[in-house]
Amino acid sequence: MNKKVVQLTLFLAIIASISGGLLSFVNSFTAPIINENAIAAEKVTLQLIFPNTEEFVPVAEFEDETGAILAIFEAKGAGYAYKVSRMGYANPIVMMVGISNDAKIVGLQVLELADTPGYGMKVGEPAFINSVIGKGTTDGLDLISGSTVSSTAAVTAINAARTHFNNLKGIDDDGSGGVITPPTPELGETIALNSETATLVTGNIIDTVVNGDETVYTVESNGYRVAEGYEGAKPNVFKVTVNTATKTVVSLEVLEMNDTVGIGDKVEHEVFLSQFVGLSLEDENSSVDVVSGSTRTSISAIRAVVTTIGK
Amino acid sequence: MSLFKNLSNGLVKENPVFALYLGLCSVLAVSNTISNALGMSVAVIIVLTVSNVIISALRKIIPSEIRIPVYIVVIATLVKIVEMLMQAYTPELYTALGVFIPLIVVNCIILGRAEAFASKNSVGASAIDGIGMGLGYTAGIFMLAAIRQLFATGALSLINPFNQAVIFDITIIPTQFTIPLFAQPAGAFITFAVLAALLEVYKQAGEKPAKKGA
Repeated sequence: MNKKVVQLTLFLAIIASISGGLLSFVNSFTAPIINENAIAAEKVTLQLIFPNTEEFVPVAEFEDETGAILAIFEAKGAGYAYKVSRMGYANPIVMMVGISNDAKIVGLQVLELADTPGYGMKVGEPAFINSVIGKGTTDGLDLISGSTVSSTAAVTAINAARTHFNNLKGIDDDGSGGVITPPTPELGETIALNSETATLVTGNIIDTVVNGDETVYTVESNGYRVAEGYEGAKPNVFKVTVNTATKTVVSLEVLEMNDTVGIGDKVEHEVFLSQFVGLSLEDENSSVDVVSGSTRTSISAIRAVVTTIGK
Repeated sequence: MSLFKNLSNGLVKENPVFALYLGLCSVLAVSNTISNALGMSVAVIIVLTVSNVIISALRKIIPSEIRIPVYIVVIATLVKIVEMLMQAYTPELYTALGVFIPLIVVNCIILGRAEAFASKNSVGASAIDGIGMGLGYTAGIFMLAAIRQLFATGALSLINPFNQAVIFDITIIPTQFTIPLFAQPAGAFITFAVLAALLEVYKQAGEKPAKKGA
């Protein structure tokens, strides 16, 4: 009985090793051709990005948590090209991103793009492509106003390529560059700012620095998360510079933004903050437009300002 | 069994597709164009014939307890070799046929012929049986593909898989009269059912006079 089992096992083992040998023999001469085929399909695009490179080698195995990277090609002696894809507004956006060995984006070819004409299609226009080319692998990239979804998809896909490149080359990304520059927020409801509004005062001045006519206040003001009672929520902190002689606002800055990422932090945009410059409570007609979609956070900024110039 | 009878057996009487209903998965899936159908057929003929020959040659030394695993190893190796060759030399055909190339491994025609014929017959007869069955498969899938491509696109075309050159491309039905349903899986099933019924009619018509004579 035992002898039979050994015999059968041996027979199967022999058959399996013969077939293994055959397969590795066929693989030895087909693998280079298959590799070449994989490149041939992309070679036209690759040479637009790396015009002086003849030899491209596909990187067979790579790690990519985002799933955005479809293929990686090493341009020998020049850098790496990444075929990346992300879902755009209506259809997937497929691009080839070239990164040179000195960590600069040297090429961006849009291979597939079928989003809304006039909006999402701007991703394929020279203005956007040129804004990306020349950037380093840790620099921030600008979105396109009016095509946030499509350009976010494009930037996310490019960032996947840059993350892989940075890991490969051991480049430390401190995160500052990977942050997407926020798009210009839309302003909504108008809030009057006058002596009456001063009764709203709820800000808490935590630091005052007098500097001649100008006084710099650091003010805590409760935003959306504190008001809604989120666990561990902290008030937003603003830096308000006030001209004490004329009682006008010189500047408003956000020191700490503790409201919802992606919504409350829209108030950090210049479009909103610049409205406060030159503002005075004495002028009964002064008003500020809140950021559409982040009203509560905008009001926390208004409270901080009123707290200081109301003094 | 004469050589010719052996060969024609697979074409009509035991046509694997329409008489034995074997290997229908790939038949229905890749019969959308005659180029794909012929590409698939060549792969099937090669795997079927070579596996028949190898299994027939080894039939006296394969222990009967483990014959099925041995057949599977032989067939899988052949399919993998064909797959690698196709990926290297006919990449477009490889992309078009996709998952159905590795699925040849589980195509029941091949394991079926290994068990039913090659394990009991000589190498020569097994080779002929492989070619005959392969041609039967080809005839089945080609008829299906020709009808589907004609009704779905109005044209018949054949592309050389090695260099993508168009061998012929004839438009027969003007595009406004085409029936896109035939490109869909439902079209494949309908065409298949009609063809299978026709073959059955033909076989019964052939049997009746024979019975009278006897």
